[in-house]
This record gives sequence, structure tokens and C-alpha cells, in this order.
Amino acid sequence: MKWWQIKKRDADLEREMRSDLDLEEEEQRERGVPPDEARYAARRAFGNTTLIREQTHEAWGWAAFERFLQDIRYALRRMRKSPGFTTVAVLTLALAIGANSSVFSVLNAIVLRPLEFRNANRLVEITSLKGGKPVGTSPPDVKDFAAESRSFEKMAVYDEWTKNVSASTGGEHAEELMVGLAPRELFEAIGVQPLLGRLFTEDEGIAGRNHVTLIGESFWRTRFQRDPKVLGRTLTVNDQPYTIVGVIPDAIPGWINAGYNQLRPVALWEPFLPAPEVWSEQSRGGRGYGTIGLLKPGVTIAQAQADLARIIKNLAATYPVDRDMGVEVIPLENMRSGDLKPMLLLLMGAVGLILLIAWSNLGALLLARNITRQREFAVRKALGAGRVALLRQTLAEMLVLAAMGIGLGLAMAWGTTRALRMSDPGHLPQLLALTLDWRVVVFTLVAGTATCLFLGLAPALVSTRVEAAGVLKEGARSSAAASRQGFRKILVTTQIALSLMLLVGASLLIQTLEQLENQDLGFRSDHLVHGRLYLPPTQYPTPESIDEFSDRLTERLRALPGVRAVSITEIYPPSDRWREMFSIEGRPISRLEDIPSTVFGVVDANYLRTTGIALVRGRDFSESDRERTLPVAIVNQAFVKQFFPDEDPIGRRIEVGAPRRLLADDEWMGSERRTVNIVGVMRDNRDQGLALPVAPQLIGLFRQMPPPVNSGFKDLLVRSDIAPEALETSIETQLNALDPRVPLSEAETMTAYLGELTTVQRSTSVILACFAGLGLSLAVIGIYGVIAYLVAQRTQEIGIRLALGAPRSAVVWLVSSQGLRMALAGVAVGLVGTILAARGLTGLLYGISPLDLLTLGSASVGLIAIALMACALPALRAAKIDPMHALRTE
Amino acid sequence: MAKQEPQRAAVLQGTLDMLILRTLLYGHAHGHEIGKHIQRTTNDFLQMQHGSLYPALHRLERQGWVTSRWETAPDRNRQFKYYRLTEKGKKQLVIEESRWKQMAEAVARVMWPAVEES
Repeated sequence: MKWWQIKKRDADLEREMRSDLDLEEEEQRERGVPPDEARYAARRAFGNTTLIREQTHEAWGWAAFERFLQDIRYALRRMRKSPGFTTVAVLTLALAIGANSSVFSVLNAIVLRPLEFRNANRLVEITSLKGGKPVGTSPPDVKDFAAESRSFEKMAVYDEWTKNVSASTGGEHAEELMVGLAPRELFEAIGVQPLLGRLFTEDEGIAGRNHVTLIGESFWRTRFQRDPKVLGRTLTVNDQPYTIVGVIPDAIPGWINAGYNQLRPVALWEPFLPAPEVWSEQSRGGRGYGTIGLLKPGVTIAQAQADLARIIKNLAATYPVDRDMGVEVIPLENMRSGDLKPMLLLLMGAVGLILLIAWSNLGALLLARNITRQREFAVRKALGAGRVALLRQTLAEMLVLAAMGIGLGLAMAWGTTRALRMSDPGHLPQLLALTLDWRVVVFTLVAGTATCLFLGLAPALVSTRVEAAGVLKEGARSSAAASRQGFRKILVTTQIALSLMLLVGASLLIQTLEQLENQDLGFRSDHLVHGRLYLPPTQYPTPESIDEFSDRLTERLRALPGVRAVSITEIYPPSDRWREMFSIEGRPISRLEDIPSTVFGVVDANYLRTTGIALVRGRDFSESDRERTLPVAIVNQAFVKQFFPDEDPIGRRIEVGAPRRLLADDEWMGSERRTVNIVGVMRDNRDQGLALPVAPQLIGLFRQMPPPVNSGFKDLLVRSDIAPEALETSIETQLNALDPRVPLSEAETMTAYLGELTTVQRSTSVILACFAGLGLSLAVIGIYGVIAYLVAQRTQEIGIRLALGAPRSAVVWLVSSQGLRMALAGVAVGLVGTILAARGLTGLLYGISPLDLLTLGSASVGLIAIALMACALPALRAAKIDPMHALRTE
Repeated sequence: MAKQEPQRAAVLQGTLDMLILRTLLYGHAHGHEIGKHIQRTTNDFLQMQHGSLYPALHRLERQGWVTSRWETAPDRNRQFKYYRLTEKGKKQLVIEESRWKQMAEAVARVMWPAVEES
């Protein structure tokens, strides 16, 4: 028999017993017994029907289950009768579980979950280090690494470019997409098999044979509707025809090339740079490529690291550009978490604190509830309920509570992860993999149930050990109750301490954000639009054609209504990654290591006017600085401070590019050099990002620079009088009118762009602030609960005090001092905790110390004030106690 | 829930099962009839309430030793739940019978050794 048939079976049994009773009654009557008596006689002959029914149910073998159902029903009934308790308990549990599983899901997606590659644990990223900072690799170095190393099975150098891609042969409807350049080995190392067609062959890496492409699955789907006959068709990439030779799954996530912060996933691949000069000796210093290595089985990261360090040391003996270079082998999964890891760990820590607060709150709540239920337990025990039965019921209640809390919590976590995945995958492609992992669900189930069972059963074990007579006589004022109150006080103190830590953390992060956003950037970020242009070399092969395009676009855009200034540039604040070596005329340099470098960039004559960077000395660039006039440059104040501390920089001559004697092939200038004259000094503006100090910077005019520097990669800046968003369409229209084959990409306002730079900090502060608020409200509920309970316990005593003439203010103080004591203790513990945790925070803060006295002080004072407010209500209620009433009721 | 002495219940239960199975050997019967039959046959020596038959009957049914069906009684114009012995039940009756016999003999040997000797 199955348990769902129990109801039917029970009806059947009922009918069977009924028929038996009726028959007995009939027989009794037939024997001449009067009808009334016959019924009783029949009952006597039959026995106790309820008992028989119970025993028969046992015989069916489902009795334990039926009892369990009964316990659940009873638990539900009890919970309905105390909706306040139920709501608070379930919500506390749900919030703690929801917040924990959400944060854990994110952590799981970005840090913990193993990579979904076949050889995930053997895959590494290799980068050269300059001054301890990763700078990427150069192909000649990688060639030598691969040839001489003993630790690697495969090594592949790769790169990613944004290119204008069109699915047609004519190049119409071009779209700017991320194009990867990689040799066959990259796919083999990662373990990617083509869905259709084949991978690149060895000789497709040679110029002339390289016009083949592997398209990604999503590109195949969106452009070709998964057409199986796509092989052999031709795409136009930067005006060049490329034949599709294969389709590969989108298995290579965008974060793999995180070194460039180009986090858009790659749409299609071409063979790695076929240009022979990339592999030539002059390119050894041209670092910035990504390299993925597949370790031989059993080789550790440290062994591989030592292996490559040995090779680079040998290389340095032969090639001066490799001098002072380090090399680092990074497990590929570390690339995924990138700079998000510290923030995530901070959030995980914070959410852990929340869980602790929720636990202690729930514990206090259940403790209080069990104390009030002692009388009920005693009564039931007196009526014959066994201890096991009482425990079983408490257990059922806890399970129901846990189930509701976990259910709600998981629903919250599911909603949060979904919302996160939908919100902004473009900037954090790691979040595309964000799901409510089964591990998270299991973790939640176990944690939630264990919490409830532990917190519910521990007090229940104590309270079911009640001596019925004792409790019934004394009421609830036993000494045991008082000691449990002590435990509650400890719980509340802990909550206050944890809340303080959260509060300080949130406050520090918010101040960091404020510092980042409201600092003086050195330029005007309002009313400014930024976009990117790419002029393909097939149409703009010479510097002159690029200059001409720039002039004509500037002219068109400047004519737009509302536009105040237009600048075409290759850099823009607040972060230029471009660094260039240089030498100052009259200061000879003899060693490669002594060549100074500066943040560098090329712009047009309108750059300062458009960005709003102020000129401090000398003159601005002018329209009359042309290709054939004297090359000019402007430096920032940091440059003057470092290189001309006691001299006038105006008129000094600077050679851009490493001195040819020491390094013939410059990373950016190649074999070209250009000497520029400093004509002006501009105000310092952020050039290394929002959080780093301003570095020396030198800017020149691209029209006065040689071809490798005056490239087809241009940025567009437009300053307007009107709302800048309104301009984006008209800018695009003008660009289209000028040349439809040049798309405008990443057009957005500077304000929005700056906002993106602080996304991680902003969302972390918001989440942390929510956590702090949550923790705080839990702590307030905790304090209130304890104080209110104490007042209820001491009503009689307070009544006596009042009757003996104690002033009401003394009563208020008597009660609030209890809360104050807990708050002070909590704050003290919390401050110690904050100091201990401070070191972990330092790296995440900007412009503020993790032990900022003002922050610590105001958070402490604020918390104490809030604690006192939580005491106020019960304290005032205590002061209003009517002595006569209080003395009579007990 | 009232409690029975477990030992006594076990002995009684075992015996009751055997008595029910033996009664059904004559043919199908409903609970009331079984109870009445046992009572009558033992000359009311086994004073029992019919109600206590039901847990036993349901247990036997769960073991597959008896089956049940609602049928109209020939003498009264309404339905009763009739129990029937199954093949498995017949085998079980033999087992229980021999076990009971052994037990009775063992008890007898202890209780009346002299009789045994003479």
C-alpha cells in the first residue's frame, strides 16, 4: 500500500468496523436486549475504536510517517498562530540565505568554478614583467621560450583587435567586432574542436595565405542562421576578403585577454599575425601579446616559472631589450577573476558577517520563544507527552521554518543572479556564466537546515527537560531563564560588533567612491562625448589621407548645432596606457636602463580646448602647426616637476623614441624618431586611471608624427553646449555621410564612461551598504527584544522602585543602561575586529585610510545612538508602569 | 495512547494470527464472524473484543496471507468485508501450527515432567 492511499484505507476500515458494530447490535437486539442497551453492549464487545484504528494504522506500516505529517500540521498551525515570530524568523533566514547564495554564486562563477576546458588545470597565461608589472609577451621571446623550455607541451601567442567586419564581400554594413589572431596551437591547447570545417594549418600563418577565418558559434548563428554551407563563403574584415574555413564553439571567453581590458568576447579568428616583422629580432621589445601555455602533465606552476626565468636570463645576455625583464606564469583561472577577486572576497566576508548576525538573531528569537513555551511544554508533559514527542514536534517546527526560509532564500538568490546576468554582461563577461549552481543549492539546503536544527533543538533540549511541577509553580522566573538571558546578551553584543564592522566597511567604500568621482580630474567631464574610429589602411594608406579625413570630419562636426569643440586624438583622459621612451636634448644617456619614459599621446590642435584641460604656461597647439612646420609638444606639470625641476621647459627639445644608439627598434616609433619642441605646459590631468597619481605626460600632434604613430586608430571627442546624448546620432550621421565604411563605435558620454570605471566600486558599496543596513536592523531588533523582555521580567521590581519613590528618569536610565552596556561592549569588540580586518581593506580604498578616525568614530557613535533608540521604547514603557497595577498582577 | 505489555502482546498476537488463519480454513468470513467463531469454539474461554481482530487482519493482509473483498452477506441484505485464506496463508498456517505444537510440548515437558516419565 502506498501512503497516499491512507485516507481511502481509513474510510474502508471505518466502514468495516461500522458494519461489525451494527451486526453485533442487531444480534444483541435479536437476543431481546433493549435497543439503547444493545448499542452499548455492542461497543463493549467491540472495544476501543480509536485504539483499534490506531493499531490498524500501525499494521499498515505508515504510522511513523503519519505522525510526522501530524507534527508538520501542528507546526503549521502553531506558526499561523504567531505570525510575527514566523515572519521575522523566515525573513531573517531567507535574507541571510538569499544574500549568501547570491554572493557565493558570483564568487563561484568568477573565482571558484573550474574552467570548462579539457586541460583547465594545466593551462597558464605567460607574461613578461617589467619592473614587476605584467606587460605581455613579444613573439620572438615566446618563440625562444617554446624552443628552450622543458615544462610546456604547447605554447601559443595570440592577440585581439577590434576590426570592421562585414558578412558580405562588398564590405557593406560593417560592424566593429572583436577579432582574435591565433595560431592553431591556441585552439589545441585549450581543447577547442571545430563544429564545422577545420582549424588553421601551419602555413596559414604566412603572409599571403592568411586570408582564412574561423567564425565563432554566435557569429555563425546571428549572421548565417547556422547555415551548414557557410564554409567557403567570404567575409570582409577591414576591407580584406577572408574565407571561412571553420566554425568553432564560443568556448574561449572574453576575459582570456583581460590584459588589454578588452573584455568583449571574440567573434571570429584569423591566423596569428602573418606579418614577418612581428617575428623579427627588432620586435623582441614589442611586448603586449597574450600567450597561453599548456603545461606538461605533472609540471607545477613553480617549476614552469623557474624554467622560463632561466630562459629569460639567458636571453638577456644576448638581447639588451630583455635585460631586467621578469616572467610570470599565471594559472589561467586567475585571469578570470582579475581585479574583481579582492572585492568579491570582501563581499563574501561581509555576507558571512550577515549570516552570523542572522544566526545569532534567530538563535535569540528561538531561545526567547522556547522560554515562553516552557509552560506549554510543562502542561503537555503533565498530560503525558513524552520528551521524544515534544522534541519531535520542535523538530517538525524547525523543519517547516527551514523549508520556508530556504525556499524564499533560494528564490531571492535565483532572482538576484538572473538580474545580475541580465544587467551588464558587456563589461563583466564572467557574469555570463553566472547561474545558481547546484553546489550553491546544496550548500544552502545544508546550511539552512543545519542552522535551524542546531538553533532550534539546542534550546528545545534544554526546555523539554522541564520539571513540570517546578515550572508550573514558579512561572517563568526561574534562574535558568536568567542565565539564558545572559546568552542572549552575548548574541546581541556580537551582532552590534559585526554591524559596526559592516558599517565601517560600507562607509569607507562609499567615501572611496566619492573620492574617485569627485576628485579634480584635471579636465571637464561634463558635456563631452567620446567615440572610437578605425580608418582601414586600404582606404587611408598614408598619414596625409588620415590627416585629411580628420580635418574634414572636424569641420563637419563643428558645424553641428550645439557643438562647441571637436578633437580627433589617439588618447583621452583619464587613462592612457601609452608609454614612450624619450631623450632630452643635451642630456646624453649611455645605458638602456636609464632611458626615461613618459605617458605619451598624439592629438590634434583642439585637444586641450575640447577636453577642458587648462594651459599653465606657454601656448596651446594651433591650426597653424601643420605637417611641415616645426614639431611641437605640450607637457604636463608632473613632467616639468620630474624632468625640469629648476628650468624653464619651454623651448626644450625632446626626441620621442628610444635613443637609436641604444635601441634601434622602438616599440611604437619603430625605426622612426621625431624631435619635438616643448611650447606649453598643461595642467595635470588623470592619465593613469582614477586611482593612480598623475604621471609625467607629453603630447604631440599626430599630423607631425611618423606613420606608425599616426595610425588609423583614432578617438573622437566632442564638447557640446547641449545635452551630449542628443549628439550621438547626428555625429554618426555626419560620419556616415563622409565615409560609410568607417563605423563609430563605443560612442558614449564621458560621464557614463567615468561611471563605468567605478562600476565595481559602486556596486560593491551599494551591496555593502545594504548589508550594513540589514545587519543594523537585525541588531536593533535584537537589542529591542532583549530590553523589552527584561522590562517584562522586571515589571514587579520596577513597580516596587516606583512605589518607594524612585523618579521615572531613574527607571528610564535603569533600563537603557542595560542596552548601553551591550552597545558599548559590541562597539569595543567591533572596533577590534575592524582593526584586525583593516589590512585586507587597504588595497580596495582610495583617498582614505582603513583606520580613518572620523569614520570609526562616527560609526561607533551612530551605532550607540541607534542602540539607545532601540532601548527607548521599552524604557519609556517601563517608566509608565503603574506601581499598584504591577504589584497586584503578579 | 494506551500501552500494552510488549511481551504479552507478542504472544497473543502470534496466537491470534494462527487462530484467524485456522478459522478461515473453513471458508471466507468477515471480522464479526471470525470473532464469534473463535469465541464460540473456545466456549467463551478466550474472552476477546472483536475490535482487536482488525489490526491482526490488516497485518495478515499486508503479509499476503489473506485477501479481502466487500461482499453481500447471504443472510443479511448488506455488504461485509470478507477475508479469504491465500495459498501463502495456508503454508503459513502449517508453519505456525507446528511452531505452536513444539512450544506446547516444550512447556508441557517443563510443567509435568512426571507424566512424561511414567
